[in-house]
Amino acid sequence: MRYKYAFVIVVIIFCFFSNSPARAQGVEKFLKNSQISGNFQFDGMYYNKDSMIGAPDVPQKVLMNAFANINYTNGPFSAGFRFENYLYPLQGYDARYKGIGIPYRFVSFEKDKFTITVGNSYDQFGSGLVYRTWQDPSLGLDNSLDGLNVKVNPWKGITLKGIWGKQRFYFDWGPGIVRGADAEFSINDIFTKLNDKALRVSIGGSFVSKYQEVDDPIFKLPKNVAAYGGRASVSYKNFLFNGEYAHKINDPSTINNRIYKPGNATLIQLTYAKKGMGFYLAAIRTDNMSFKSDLNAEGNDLNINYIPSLAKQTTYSLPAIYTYGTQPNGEFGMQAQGIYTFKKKSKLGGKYGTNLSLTYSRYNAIDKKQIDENTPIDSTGTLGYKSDFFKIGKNAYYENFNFEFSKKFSKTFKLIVDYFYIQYNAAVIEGHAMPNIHSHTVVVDMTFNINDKNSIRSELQHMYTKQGEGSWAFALVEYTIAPKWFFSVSDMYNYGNDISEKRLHYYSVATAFAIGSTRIALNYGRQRAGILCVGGVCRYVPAANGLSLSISTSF
Amino acid sequence: MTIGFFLLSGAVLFLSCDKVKPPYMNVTDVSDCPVPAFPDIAAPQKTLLIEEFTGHKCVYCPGGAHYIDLIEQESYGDRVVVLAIHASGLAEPEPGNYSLDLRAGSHGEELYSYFTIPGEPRAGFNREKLDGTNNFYGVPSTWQAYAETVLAHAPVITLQVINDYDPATRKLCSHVKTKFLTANSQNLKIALFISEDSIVGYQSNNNTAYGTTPDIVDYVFMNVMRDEFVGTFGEILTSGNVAQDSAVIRTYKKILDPGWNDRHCKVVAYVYDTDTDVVLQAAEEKVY
Repeated sequence: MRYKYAFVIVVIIFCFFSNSPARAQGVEKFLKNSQISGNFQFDGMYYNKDSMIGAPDVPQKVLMNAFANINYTNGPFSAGFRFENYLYPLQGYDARYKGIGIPYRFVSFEKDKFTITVGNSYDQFGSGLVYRTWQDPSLGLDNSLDGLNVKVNPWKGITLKGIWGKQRFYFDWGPGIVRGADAEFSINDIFTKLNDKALRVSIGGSFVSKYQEVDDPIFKLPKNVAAYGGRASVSYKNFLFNGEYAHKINDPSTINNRIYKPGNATLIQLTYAKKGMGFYLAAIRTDNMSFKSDLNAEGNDLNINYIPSLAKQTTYSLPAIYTYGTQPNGEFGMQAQGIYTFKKKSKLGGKYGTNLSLTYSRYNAIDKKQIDENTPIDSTGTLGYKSDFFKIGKNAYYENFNFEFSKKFSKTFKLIVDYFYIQYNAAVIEGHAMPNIHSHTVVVDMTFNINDKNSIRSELQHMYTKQGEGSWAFALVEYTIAPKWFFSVSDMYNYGNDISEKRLHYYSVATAFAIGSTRIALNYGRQRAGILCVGGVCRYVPAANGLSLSISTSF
Repeated sequence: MTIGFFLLSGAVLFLSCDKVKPPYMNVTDVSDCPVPAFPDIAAPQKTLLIEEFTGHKCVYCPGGAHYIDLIEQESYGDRVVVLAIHASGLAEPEPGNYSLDLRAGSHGEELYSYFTIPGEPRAGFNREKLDGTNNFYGVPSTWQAYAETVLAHAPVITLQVINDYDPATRKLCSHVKTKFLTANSQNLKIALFISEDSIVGYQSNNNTAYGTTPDIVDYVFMNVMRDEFVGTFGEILTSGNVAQDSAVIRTYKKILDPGWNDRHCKVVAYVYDTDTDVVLQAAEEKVY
């Protein structure tokens, strides 16, 4: 089915060019304005069985993920497609990706204040609480909408959007149809008298409805499920306030155990920023807010909306072991962050300045009470539970306190020191019973610039914890010969594991070579089993041992 | 004009909501089945569900039934609930002596297929994997040991069935109470079946210890699974956290098939973990 669409596009383009005698000049002009761009990425791995770390025997031995985006633009017209090849997909990616195809293709043009896209599109209403389609290859996630996406600016300061289509589901479509509209009004742009005011206000509203043909012998299932929301953004001098509220009507799904309680989500963010300092306060409360275009979908499949994460994210290996994944059935989260830069040439700033940042984030359950004395919480075919909006549940999901010191001491030496305290509820976040993790991690990240071309970066990390797999140590050395070569050696050592046989080393040796925008990387080593989260969305990464090759390029 | 068009589109979309009113489930109307008071259980015990896969043309099955009789009648009595599931080609009726159809519609076949039963006789013991493999089901020589192992476990829930039956209309109201003896976070389903005892018919046999060979002409089939109340795999009972001492009472209604002897019919109920398929507790009660 999908190949047919791609074929039709190719035929249309071919016909356009082939009618040449009458259009020779036009074609020449057309070609002059044409631009083609794209990128390619290949990730392949040869797997060794490693029973010590739990890496399974992979029958195919070598697995791969690859894709190429090809985009064409000509003034207001653009078109593109993405070819994908997973034969078979890398371990940790959903096996339903197995295959080859063009699951993403679009044609878009701008005309009379309209931007019309047919085919696949990615878009977001507000912060995404009712609608967000996006792609993240590292998560194996792509919920693009295949259909229509219309955007119009009828008046300065007014943006209206409409979407209508089906979501991508691996190499097919999900069963539901998604329809939606969004309006955003920038008050200061609409009323010219307010253009120069320090107080800037914009408001917006969204409505999204999904339709799914469902007929269940047991449950009375709604075929049309809608979510809607309103948002406001107010800025004044150095302050910025964003607030958004979303509501969803009854949506009994696999994720929420077929309860009929309406869902809602509230997100509030306050930012203050000026040169050298800033702070950020945010809170989020979600209650039964998983919204998918298939009520039987699980995991990250067919999400219509997106729940932002307020948990601190880090790229450092040890604290990243315990990363928070958002809980769509309900959570109460907050983050407070302060950043301060000591000025250059001050006592504490030194010659190059000193940066300090302090971040605290925490997630708890929402309050849940039985709807009556005979019905347990979350009982199927009921309203599920009652929840007091302002009451925080007792079950702590996640807590992260982070202090970061960053300073460039000289032209050749830069130091970053991080401390993380993390409390992690694995039973909730990963779904398997184990005691809450309480961990303390210190990271020392040093960069030595030997000269303009050569640099060495090293990371020393230590995590202390008595729970889970116990304490870890990590060391990494990277050597870069700019702009082409990169080498690294690292080892993660689970020396504190209670089980002596599991006190294992997860070593890794890597090299990369770059030519222009092309990068080729080789890595040999072990990968620990765990979860990988980006923006609160997670996927399970199984243990692996082997040689991986990555090639990426763009043009 | 454009704004008007979008507002109109938004209004149309806004109407695209199906707000469902309670009751949320398409359950049979059980308003004519008043819920009785359930007596307290003084000393809760683990109950064993034996799912016996059998067929009237299976020559080894009388031997299997004999082993189950030993467990049920001689060893554990009330702590054992048996469902004899007649499935596969060996349960198919055929013209002549084996015309009796003891299959429970497609339900037996669905269980047979789901658990990839390799042949009859096989039996599951609360669906626990007991032989160090992924198989739920063992051969007759292992059954006594399996039963002992499962029954040694402490109960985590209690299950009670109370039936209210009208022989004139053959209307059966079954009330099932599940009580949690400990806090529970498993995803649980409840399944309910009708079983029938004392059906007489032909049974193939190759062992004179259990009857005549090659056929036992007046074989008495016991615990024959006849039909379900809420599907082969039951309905969701709970998921998420359930507090200790919580109780759930569900009521079901069914009109008994006129072909069944209602005096020999029982209601079999069991609760199982949907993630592992392991049965936590089972109960049976005569229709009347």
